[in-house]
Amino acid sequence: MHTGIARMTVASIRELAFAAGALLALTAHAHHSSSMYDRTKPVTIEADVVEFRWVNPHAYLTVVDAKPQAGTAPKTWSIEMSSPGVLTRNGWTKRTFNAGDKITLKFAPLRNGDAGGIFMQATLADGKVITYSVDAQTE
Amino acid sequence: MIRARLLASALTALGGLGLAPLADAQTGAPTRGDWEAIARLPDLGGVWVPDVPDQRRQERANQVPWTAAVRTQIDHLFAEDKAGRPKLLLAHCLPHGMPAWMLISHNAMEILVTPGRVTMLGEGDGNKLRRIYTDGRKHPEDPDVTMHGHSIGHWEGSTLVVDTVGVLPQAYIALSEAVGVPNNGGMHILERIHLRDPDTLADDMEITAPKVLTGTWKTTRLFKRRRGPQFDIIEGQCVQGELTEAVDEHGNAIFERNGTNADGSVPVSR
Repeated sequence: MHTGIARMTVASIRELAFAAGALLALTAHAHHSSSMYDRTKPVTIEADVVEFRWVNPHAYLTVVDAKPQAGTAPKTWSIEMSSPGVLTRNGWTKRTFNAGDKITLKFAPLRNGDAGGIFMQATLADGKVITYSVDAQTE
Repeated sequence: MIRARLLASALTALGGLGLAPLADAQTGAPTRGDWEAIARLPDLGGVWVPDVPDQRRQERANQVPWTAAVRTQIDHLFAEDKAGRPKLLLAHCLPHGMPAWMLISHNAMEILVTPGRVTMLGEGDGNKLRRIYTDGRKHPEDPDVTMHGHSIGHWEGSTLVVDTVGVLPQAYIALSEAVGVPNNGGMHILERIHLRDPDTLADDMEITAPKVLTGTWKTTRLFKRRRGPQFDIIEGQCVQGELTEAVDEHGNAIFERNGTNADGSVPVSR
């Protein structure tokens, strides 16, 4: 455990996740259209992974912006992705991300301005690029 | 005894045609012959992954004979999805149901062929399971309505023909996860399931739903076979996404609803 985030208690992680806002309620829903996310305006941030939830119907990442603008509090984002089944067929595992990982994260943000998005790509500290697509299952 | 033997030979003849299993005439138990008959059927093993790009092509190219009133709803749902306000058809965490499972799922399935039964096991969304009886039975006169309905099937050569009734009126006929309407009752689905090539499964569907369609809708969905442990089905309980892991006052590992204690109260820390 080499970061402050990794030392967080389960309770504080869950509070952070809760603070990520309305998206949690959204991610609890079964498979759904992703049109509430704006793929034409992707956001890229340097982020610290708080939690990677490997659950159905959608796995998701909770991350904190590692380089917030001066004078602003770090923003916590909840980033949705596909189901563990689809992700597994794209080579992911429950350990693809771990609490404390420092990543460069690209996502499509919620159109309504809440602190949530849908995953597009991540680059791990070792340079490995993580992506997925539902189409890749049959390609 | 003679009657039993006659029945057994009649069933044997039917089984040879793929119309019904052989099954022991007295006990109904599957026989060695039943299993040998299955070996002569197409192999449906492996994991079947829906061809999602083809689903999207079908969404645009294959016109559905909606009633005028339903078409208005569908046009509105398409517009809402395009505007970033999708209707969450599957928000209830129930299985997709029929025919939406075959039409729009992004998750894989397995198909098990056993004497008298074909079973489809889907990934995600809880109890995604179709039991297709191939033992020669008829539909019940007054079936309980369920998300997947009551399905009977038979083999015509290497094609599995499946007839489904008794689907809950709330089950969607869906074009995507944001566009579709409940069938509203009285739906009948006929499927011809066959291998288009060694690793492509085609489900030719004929959907009749008099409350929402003006005629029978014919459409096909494709599934690609994948073999190997890296493609295995992952257990997916949809409701798990609404729960978080916690520890109760006895130290037991439990689930609780997001934002609430197990008794429904809101934690003080929040």
